[in-house]
Amino acid sequence: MVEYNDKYEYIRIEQTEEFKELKRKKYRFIFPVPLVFIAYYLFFIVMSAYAQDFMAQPLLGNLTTGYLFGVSYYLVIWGLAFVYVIKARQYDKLVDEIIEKYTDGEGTV
Amino acid sequence: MDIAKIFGLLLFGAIIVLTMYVTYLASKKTSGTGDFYAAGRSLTGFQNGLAIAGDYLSAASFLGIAGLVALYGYDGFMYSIGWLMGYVIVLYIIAEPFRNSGNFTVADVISYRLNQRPVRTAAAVVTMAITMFYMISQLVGAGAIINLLIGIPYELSLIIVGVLMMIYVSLGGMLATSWVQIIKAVLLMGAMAVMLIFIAVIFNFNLSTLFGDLSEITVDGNQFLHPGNLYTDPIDLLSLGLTLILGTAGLSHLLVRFFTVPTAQAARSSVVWGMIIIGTFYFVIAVIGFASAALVGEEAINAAGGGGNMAAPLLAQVLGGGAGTIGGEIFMAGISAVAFATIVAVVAGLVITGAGVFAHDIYTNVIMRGKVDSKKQFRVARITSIVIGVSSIILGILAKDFNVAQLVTYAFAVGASANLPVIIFSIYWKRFNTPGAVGAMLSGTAITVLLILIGPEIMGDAAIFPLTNPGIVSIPAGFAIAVIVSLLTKPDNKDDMFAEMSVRSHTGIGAE
Repeated sequence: MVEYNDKYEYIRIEQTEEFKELKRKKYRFIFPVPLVFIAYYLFFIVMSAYAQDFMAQPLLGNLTTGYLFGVSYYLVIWGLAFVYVIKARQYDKLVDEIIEKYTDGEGTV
Repeated sequence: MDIAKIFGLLLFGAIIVLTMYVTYLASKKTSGTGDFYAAGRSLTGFQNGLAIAGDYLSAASFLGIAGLVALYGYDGFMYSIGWLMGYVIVLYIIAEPFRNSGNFTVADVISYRLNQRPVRTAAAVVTMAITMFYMISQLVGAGAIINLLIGIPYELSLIIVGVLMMIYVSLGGMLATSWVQIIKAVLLMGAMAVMLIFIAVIFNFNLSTLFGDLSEITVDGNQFLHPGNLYTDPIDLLSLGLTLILGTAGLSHLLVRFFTVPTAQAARSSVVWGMIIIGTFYFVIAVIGFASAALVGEEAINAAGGGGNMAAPLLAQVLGGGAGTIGGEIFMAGISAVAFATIVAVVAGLVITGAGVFAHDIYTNVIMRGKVDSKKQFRVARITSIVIGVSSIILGILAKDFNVAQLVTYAFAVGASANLPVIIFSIYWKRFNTPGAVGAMLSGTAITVLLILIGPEIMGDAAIFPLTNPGIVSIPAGFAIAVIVSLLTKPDNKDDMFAEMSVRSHTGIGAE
């Protein structure tokens, strides 16, 4: 855990290129992915309501399109969790560099 | 008394003894506010992941969704999927910055760079609204289910659940609450694994075989395995979907779980573990529901009462050898005991969240303006948890005839409309200000509650608002009010505080 209390150091770090770069990289990833995912999930509901014949097509034995589509959400969401963990490790590295460079390594000035 | 009844009571007793022992151990470690609200930040990512699952998987999920799937087939399955989907937002946008910028409550994060007293007060209103909807749904469900399972009267079962959770929370604080949730998650997943093995053996490890048996069933003239048996209004269903996916990240009692781990990395891994456990749960509960439809049958499930709630326990009875056999009765008693542990754990999480709001936000920061020592606040928090416990038992008894399944989605609706916009903007949007936050929280809650009151659930056929789920209107309204009010009013002039919060939330520098 990092102890850090000097207000002015926060402002200084906020204005560094490294911190701005961290935010840019992060935002480009953490906002679009959930938005696309929400649309993908609502698509399932729309399909179940308006394309019932399509969702009732048997696809794998007695399993219909609707069920396989539904199960795909579990696989996709777990996949997204995995991708996030990989990405977040990259952000962790950038954070470590910021702490290393702009604090005394312990986090204090 | 027959063997199965004795076995059932022994199991109930064992769960109570185990959780009491955990509470006793936790009480020795709980000596201040940091311990009481946040378990001394001592949980690992995996432990907190289990506790998140224990907090989230309610009896409504275990018994209610199994019942919906067993009675309505495809539509029940579609409903079961929505509950995991919100965790993408929790993981990607909320968990880590939330962990880094707060201490004990949601209001700590929201009020970080805004004006403390108005924002904390409004945040307290939102959290109490969410917690109340959630609490009543749990308690009413608990009373009905315990009554159905072991025949104790409704009021008495509420008092038993209420007293247990008051002991857990007031003596053992967040540490005991977390461990009760962990124990519950392990018991629940274990019970489901056993059921799944039985089901798999019966159907030759092949879902298609199970579905083949089900393909002949029809509900109201429609095939059981196809869409359209339960939900007829697509707009209402979209509204429900939106509410579930956006509401999860706004549930106060879930968010405070991130304060029990030491770092943002641990918060991250706890969400991932939570997603693995919760996803597995909802997938398996759907299989259990389908198996119950095939093996128990609609008639027997309906005959047992509770709107399908008995689908899973009755399936356990069949899997164990059928009604009247020792195996069947013992298996059913085991599942009933697990359902009981499930209820107690969720309710304990709600009580401690409510206690945090009153003792930390309202008493310490709004009324006493932060001038309270930790010892005094700790005492107030313990007393508050008992007060909340007693008042929820009374509320639960009064609300006996409410439709529980719908109540819990109202908690999600308030979370998505009043909590989520404010949490996101306070972390990520510099121009966001105090009027925007207070306006969005109060009007988001008010709009949601109003639409519920004039909707079909309360007013029946005379409803002014046509949808059961207000989310599709109230969620955009909450976000819009937050943005418009912020832009129309003066900035807070706290740019230095935003810089501090921004650096702290993204890097963890200075996080407590």
